[in-house]
Amino acid sequence: MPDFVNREGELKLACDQSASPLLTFCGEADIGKTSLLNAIKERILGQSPPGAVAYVDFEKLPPDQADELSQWVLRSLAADIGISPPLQQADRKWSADLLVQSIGACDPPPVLMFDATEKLQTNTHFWEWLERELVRPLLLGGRTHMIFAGRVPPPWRDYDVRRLNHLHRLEPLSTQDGLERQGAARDLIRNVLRQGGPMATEADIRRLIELILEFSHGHPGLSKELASWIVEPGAGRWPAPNFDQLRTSLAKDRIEKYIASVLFKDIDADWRLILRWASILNWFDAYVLRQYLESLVAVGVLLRGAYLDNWDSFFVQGIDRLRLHDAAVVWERDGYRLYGVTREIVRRCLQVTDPDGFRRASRCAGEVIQAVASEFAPDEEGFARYTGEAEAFFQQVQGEVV
Amino acid sequence: MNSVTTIMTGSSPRATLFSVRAPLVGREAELARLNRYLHARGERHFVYYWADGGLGKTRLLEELERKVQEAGPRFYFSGIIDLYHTDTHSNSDVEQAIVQGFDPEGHWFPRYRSERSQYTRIRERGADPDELERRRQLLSGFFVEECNRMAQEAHKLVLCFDTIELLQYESSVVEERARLDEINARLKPWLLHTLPQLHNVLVVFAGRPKPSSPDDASVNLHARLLRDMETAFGGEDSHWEAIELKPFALNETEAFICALSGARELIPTATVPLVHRLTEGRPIFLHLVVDLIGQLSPQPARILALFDRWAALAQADDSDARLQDARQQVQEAILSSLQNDAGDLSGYFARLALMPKGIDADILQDVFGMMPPEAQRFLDRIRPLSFVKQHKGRGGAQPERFFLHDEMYRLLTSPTLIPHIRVEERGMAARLATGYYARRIAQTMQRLGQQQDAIEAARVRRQLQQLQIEQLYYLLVQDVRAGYQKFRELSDQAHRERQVGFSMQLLDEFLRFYNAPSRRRLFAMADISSEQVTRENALLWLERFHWWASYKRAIEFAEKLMNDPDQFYIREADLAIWGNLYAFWVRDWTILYGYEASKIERARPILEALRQQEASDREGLLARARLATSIGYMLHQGGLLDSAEPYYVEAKTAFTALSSHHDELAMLLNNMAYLYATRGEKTMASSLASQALRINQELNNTYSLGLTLTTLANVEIRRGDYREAADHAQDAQHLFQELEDAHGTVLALLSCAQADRKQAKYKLLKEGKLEEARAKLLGAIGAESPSGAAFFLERALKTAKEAGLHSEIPALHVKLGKVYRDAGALLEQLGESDIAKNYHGKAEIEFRQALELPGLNKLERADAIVDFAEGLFVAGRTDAANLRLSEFKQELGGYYVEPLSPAGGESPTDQPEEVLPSEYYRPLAKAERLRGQMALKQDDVSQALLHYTTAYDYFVRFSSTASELDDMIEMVYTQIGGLPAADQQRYMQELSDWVNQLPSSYRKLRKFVNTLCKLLGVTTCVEPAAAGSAL
Repeated sequence: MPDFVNREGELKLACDQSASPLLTFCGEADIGKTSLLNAIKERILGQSPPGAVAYVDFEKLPPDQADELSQWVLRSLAADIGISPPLQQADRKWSADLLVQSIGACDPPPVLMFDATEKLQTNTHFWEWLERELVRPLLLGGRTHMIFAGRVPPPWRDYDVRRLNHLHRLEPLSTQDGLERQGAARDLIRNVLRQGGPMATEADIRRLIELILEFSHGHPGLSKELASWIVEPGAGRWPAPNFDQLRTSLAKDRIEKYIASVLFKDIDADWRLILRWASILNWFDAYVLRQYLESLVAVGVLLRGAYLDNWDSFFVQGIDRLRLHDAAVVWERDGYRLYGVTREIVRRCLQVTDPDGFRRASRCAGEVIQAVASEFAPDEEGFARYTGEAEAFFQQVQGEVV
Repeated sequence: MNSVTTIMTGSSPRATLFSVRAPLVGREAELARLNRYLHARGERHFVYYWADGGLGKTRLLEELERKVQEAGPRFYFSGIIDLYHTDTHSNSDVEQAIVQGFDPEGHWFPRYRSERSQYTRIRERGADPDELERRRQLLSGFFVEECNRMAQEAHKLVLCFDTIELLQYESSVVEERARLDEINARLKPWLLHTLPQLHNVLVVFAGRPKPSSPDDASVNLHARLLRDMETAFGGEDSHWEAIELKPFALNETEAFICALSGARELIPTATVPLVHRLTEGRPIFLHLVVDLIGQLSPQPARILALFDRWAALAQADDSDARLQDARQQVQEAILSSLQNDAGDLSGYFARLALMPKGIDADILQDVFGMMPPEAQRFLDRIRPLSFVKQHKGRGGAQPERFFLHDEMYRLLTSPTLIPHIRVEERGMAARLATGYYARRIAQTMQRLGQQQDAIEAARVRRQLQQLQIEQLYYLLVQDVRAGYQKFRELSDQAHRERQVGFSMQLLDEFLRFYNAPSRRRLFAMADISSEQVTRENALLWLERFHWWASYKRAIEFAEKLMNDPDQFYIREADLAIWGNLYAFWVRDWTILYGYEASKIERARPILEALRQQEASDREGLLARARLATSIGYMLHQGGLLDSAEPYYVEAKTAFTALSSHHDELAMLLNNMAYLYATRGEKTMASSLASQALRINQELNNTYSLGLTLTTLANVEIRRGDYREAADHAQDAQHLFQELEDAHGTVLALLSCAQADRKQAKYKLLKEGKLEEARAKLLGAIGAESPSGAAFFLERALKTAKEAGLHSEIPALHVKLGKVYRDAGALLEQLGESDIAKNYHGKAEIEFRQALELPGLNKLERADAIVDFAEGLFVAGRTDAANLRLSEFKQELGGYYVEPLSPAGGESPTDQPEEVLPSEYYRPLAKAERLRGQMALKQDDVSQALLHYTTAYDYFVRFSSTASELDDMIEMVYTQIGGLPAADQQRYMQELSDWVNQLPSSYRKLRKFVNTLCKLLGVTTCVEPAAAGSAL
């Protein structure tokens, strides 16, 4: 079963010894960061002579090690590299110094990989320690390459560390058709579908690929998940007697669960619900989101949550967490929005699973944005801008734009 | 939520991601200049630094502060008085801030502090507006005097004012056109007038120019400010300079970046010129760029790449349109980074930018749900940031507040970068106005209501006002219509409570909002035209002058509005405005100059028009209540009591319907009670005075309460309950003494004296208790505390003289003369003729003094002359008394009425009811009464009876329920009751015949004659009065 497709550019970047010694891959959940790290690892190990890799996956941090995080990191690295520094020392600094010295002495120097950094994103004490004791000395040593992967970049503060950092955001796979290297998402889906068994015709495969891309927008994790689900042996989902039913079933039985368990993992229930509906909005700030939610409550789409009574506090602290920890939202020019392709995935799923709610919510969104437009005099730029945006929502209600 | 909160509490031990205060770069010349001035003992320097935002003006002031501290003892610094903050918007605020800054230990300003404290205390208790205004005017004088005393001992006094551009926003059309921006309650005139009087000072201002007026683009506000400052500060013995602080030159930018970067090269040397160009050499933006690269951005190379993209612009011409685009992109990058890369502070900065009135731990708790320790940690983290400012309210009125730098507010709420920010701004404003501020205001009001101590109450009131002003700002942001209404309500309240500083703070807060072009548009969108604001603002000014007792100014301003209403956009249809305008005009005219019929004639059509309006129009109803009060008051003061009454009743009905403005209702009730008391309608008077008493007690308005008690005393005097009257008068006296209110004290002492004098008369005439009467007039011998009418009046006179109440002194001399006169008469009866003579002499001195002093109007002079004549007669000097009566006739001139005379078969014509204002009939009646006494002394009973009857007629014309009417009957009965029955019969027959001949307008005399006949047992009587015409 193929689990890695077409991240050649990133692979090359990671294996290029002349590239930046500190590489950070970031992107939303299941966008392929771990797969990419694994591919990089394989490639390095497969070189001739084989390179060395030390791999720390924060996802695998045992709960009982949380208090001794630095020791756990040092031990993990040392174990992978195959060295045995006196890690039982109580002095963490001494242990780190020893490890830095040991790594510096390795030949070839190992590539250090750190995966799922978002797990510790808000533990600034840890990052300060890692930056000060390990990353910075190794970078200044000039021989060691390090790769970090997480939903958002680690909170480096040291100027030299940030100066040397090369930040690379992983985008969804290309959904284009017919061009080599630009059809990665299709290739991925096709491969999975084929592994599931013989398809009736190429036309059927193409149809299924389009269906999956309609929801996944090239998100590799979701693409793979949906393709596997459709062709799951014995499940009898394909060939589907009714394609529209398959679409609905796909959204309801699989995508909603995927959103909850992967994209919105760790996000509390109130915010999950809010983000689901906020996916309709192009942008939001505290006021607009509140007005929108109040409208949803008024039209019966949403039950009133207690958070609305304490909105400012709920919003600003929630947004900080969603931004810093979950990488679920980002501030762009107009305001906040769901991060990356997540918004398109959630929005499309909502449209299919609850078309009536989607239409009513779109109307609410239109009305809220129209109210924003009404704050401006007709000769002000904002008036045309927000009127146009509201109009798009109203058209959405009529089904003119999907 | 707990896990969410952890993000904040569990944040980095590093205080912040930003670098702290910027180094001072490129201002060596200015520092040298300031240093020179600082050490130029005895000289006076005024320096104004002006520049666009973010160029380091405040930083320069901070450096000056450091230099003053380093200079050593006897260099005094006022602190940086930042006019941005609400609590520096009035001259009293600024005075107090300077005093506190110069003299935190309290050594140098004893008089100012004591007078300020006293002023605050008596205002809190509700003092006479005249008295308050007098004291307020004196305070600035004490401030200057004591500053200069300090300056003699000091090496230098240094005063610093920041954000003075806000002074340019203090004016609007009304202030401009009526030249109201010159009155000394406003901050700008205060600065321009007061600071040049200070010696041995270095005064430094910093501000940014506002190029043009929102009302008139041709008016360059900054040029005007510069001109005004130059005129004020550019005197012969002072040095004035206005210096533009330029943005950094390239080398200064390099030095600044270098200083911020430390040992690192955060921005490559080659990129610095472009950074300089795109930030326009503004330190605040340079600082943010350096922070962005040096601390915030996860990939600084991207920021540098942004600059590199625009490398071609390093040498571009200033007019190159690409420069503007590039600058905007740099600002967007900074904004985006602040929103995304500032760790857990990101989300907060965006919200703090919507709270320009600052934050403290309470606000953080209220808005963001932070627990107090967490909120404090947050504040400690942002405290050292270069773009964060702190301000601590004076006297602990407010906890320390944190503010962003102006440029940060502008960046984070830039309508260009985030057009819809105004929507979120409104949302936050609503949250604060109706949540945090509404709750704090309610709590503070409750505390104020419970506060007994006046000084503490003033402190709590100050906190309340601060909150109300800040709430006003957020209400304006939330909804300009609601905010504007609040502004008017609070202003009205501030005026009526004589809170001059608060009123000015409110006006400034409003004008600063209203005069910002982007805000002005919101008013237009809410259908509040600038014309409406102008005319309503004009009315507010008129109200201010009235309530501050600036009556002359109020009259002048009202006449300006009447003469040129178009200039202030007052239309014919704006009846409520016209009603108020005339109401204050008539009232203030009456206060200063008394009755003038033509004024009432001008005001009546407006009142008539107001009567035609819908009852639901509250503004119209208030105008009607006020105008009716004013017309009634003028008629009342003119002695036209019967005419005044219906206006008072109309006003009372309107105020009752309004269910508001209780303080004004209480004043009206006082006046009404006084009117009824004067007319002898004691029950009415008593009921109304009691109602006024209740209202004043509820309002806790000590001054008005004192007035009501005085009125009640007068009512009781007329009811004959002198003990009760004395109690009320003494209560009033204590209240006024507590307020240190000389005017009120004099009024209360007068009532005390009046109660004792009347009681003495009663003891003398009704009970024949001469010694008791003497005690009431001259005080009881051996009493523990001095008492008696003479004592109270002597004290009143002393109080008035000490307080400079010149207009009240002549009337006090008259009152004292009357007491001495009565004492002389009493002592004659007691057989102490030597002492009696002494009192007759004293009485004469008092009357003469009264008549020699200016201040009595025609009516009062005439009344005093009659009293004087009566005194002379009592002293046995009938000829002198007759001379005074001639003088009396001369004094009244056209207002004199020839007495009735039956000689030569004359028959008086039927006189109209109101041939004279009724008040004039009182002295006329007294003169006739005196003539009667003189005739009786010459045993001419017939003539005496004619004079007495005429006097009775005049008293009736004065008031049909005057207390003197019964006194007259009793006096005449006593005087002729001892005559033989036949003589009585003859005299009464003659009198009846004469009265029977009189026209019907004299019908009220029939009761007088018939009552006397009944008392004397004489059968011949006049015909009874026709039905319906009886008294």
